[in-house]
Amino acid sequence: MNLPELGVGITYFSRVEPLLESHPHLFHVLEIEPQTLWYRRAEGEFRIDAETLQRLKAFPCRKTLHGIGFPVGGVRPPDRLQIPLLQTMAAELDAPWISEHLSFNEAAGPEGIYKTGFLLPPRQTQVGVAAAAASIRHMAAELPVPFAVETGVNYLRPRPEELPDGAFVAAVVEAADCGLLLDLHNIWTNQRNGRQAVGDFLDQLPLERVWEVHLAGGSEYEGYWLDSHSGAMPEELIELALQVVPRLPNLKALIFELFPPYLIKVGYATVRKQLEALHRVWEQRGRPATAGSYPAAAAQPERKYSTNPTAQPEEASPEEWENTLGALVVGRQPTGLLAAELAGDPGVSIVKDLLAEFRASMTVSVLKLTGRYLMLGLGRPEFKALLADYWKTAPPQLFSSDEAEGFAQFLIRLELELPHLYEVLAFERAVMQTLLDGEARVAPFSCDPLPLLRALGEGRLPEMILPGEYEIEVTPENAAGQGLSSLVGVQT
Amino acid sequence: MTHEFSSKGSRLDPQAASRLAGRPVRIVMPAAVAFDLDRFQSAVANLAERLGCKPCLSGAACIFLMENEFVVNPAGEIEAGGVMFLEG
Repeated sequence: MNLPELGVGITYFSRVEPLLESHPHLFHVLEIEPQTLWYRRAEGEFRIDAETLQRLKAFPCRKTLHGIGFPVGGVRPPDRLQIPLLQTMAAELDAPWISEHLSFNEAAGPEGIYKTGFLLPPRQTQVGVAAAAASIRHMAAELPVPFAVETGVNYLRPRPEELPDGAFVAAVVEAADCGLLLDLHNIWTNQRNGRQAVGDFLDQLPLERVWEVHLAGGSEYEGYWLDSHSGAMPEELIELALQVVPRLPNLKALIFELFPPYLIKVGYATVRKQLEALHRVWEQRGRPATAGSYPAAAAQPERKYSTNPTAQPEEASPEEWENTLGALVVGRQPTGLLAAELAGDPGVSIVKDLLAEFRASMTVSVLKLTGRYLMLGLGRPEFKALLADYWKTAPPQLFSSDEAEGFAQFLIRLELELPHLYEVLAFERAVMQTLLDGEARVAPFSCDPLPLLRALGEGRLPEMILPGEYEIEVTPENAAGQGLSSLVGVQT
Repeated sequence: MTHEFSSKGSRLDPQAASRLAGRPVRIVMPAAVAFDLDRFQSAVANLAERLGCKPCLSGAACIFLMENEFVVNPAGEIEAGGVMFLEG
């Protein structure tokens, strides 16, 4: 396939822009995660943040798209509602290819299909290969540019009836005839957590299909190495990349990933150094590969097993696998042999913890002041217990606005006795809804709201609240005086 | 009577003074300003980034942790990493 060579870059988020402007030579390419530029305004209606899209177009470097909302490793076809937006963004940004995850994020339960809130590993059997390949072909047929899939993280222990990780990926991409996004931090993480060795994984891949490589930093938790995108790359990973890149004849892009909030901790200088390291790796492409084994990542002491000792080689279907694993990670209690086996896998508990952190983060991203009031007024453990109680009643949502609105409705039903809590909540819901639909709203208060909101904005409870009749009119203009008409609407 | 909450755009309704007798005091606040009533300026600055899909991640999202640490110590440096939602 004749794809353009894009070079070195980073996954885009707004706060990285100062670095793009101060060090443009470090960034040949920006990888855009399209769904992070979308609002979901109503059921079935997505809109693109046109202002950000225009800003991205203005950066002189190339752009590529990396989906995070329609993984293609499962039995369910990708969401058709997202396809027109992907087509729009690919055209607007002149993206030469689009990639997505070889994972799944939906499962079916008694009430229907729901989101799992976390990218989960697909069923690694021959039937699973066929299911994933069908999903990839379905997606690729809708896209205006070539399609690649990313090698994922798997926190579960290996199972005896599974295809090895590398063999599974290889079989899928050959059957689907697609490209490969090789995430070296993911497979390095898998090795550290007791799954297939990196060298064995790579030896099983059709390396000529690798168009793109991802690199990132991680962190430790409960004896596991996490794919946290939390900062600097481990030295071992850079060494691995230096050895692998010469073996990738069709490599077109090398991308560093950072989860945006971690920028506060690591700082711009660290990000700049990661990009400089990526340039050193990039220079290795086309050079003769060095002989010898890949550097081994030390497994954690707790990860000495090689396979799940209790797993039965019975053939659970991909659908059963997805429904069972999905139910477990969202806190349900599925029954059956597979459910019993998976429930005993410590990796499931890790995913449940990560999903809890993810859902809590989505909620407080939107209901920031309400969350602070609950933390300060009830205490942190009680706030966490409230969130956990809510999660028992509703599955995860893909968009933060939906996750926050679900929790808001749950809070309203609880009728908690914190002074003015529900007024703060109504105000934040009004703000969110006005941002989404551009309609002005009025939030009433039975006290002077400004000292209350100011205190919560500063992370403290107010010293004094004066009663009175007040209301805040939330208007649709943003700070720049532009309404939300700047959103690009795509009819779906 | 003056209410100044943010230099970025909130204001009293110009006719508020005439409505004080028996009517609510109305404060007009653009949504984008109201969404940013926050001294802890997180690394997530873009509205779509906060309202929409979170970026690709198979690890620990740290926004809840950072919010928690900000509330515990608003004046302190935000530390991230290592502590999780389910940590005590």
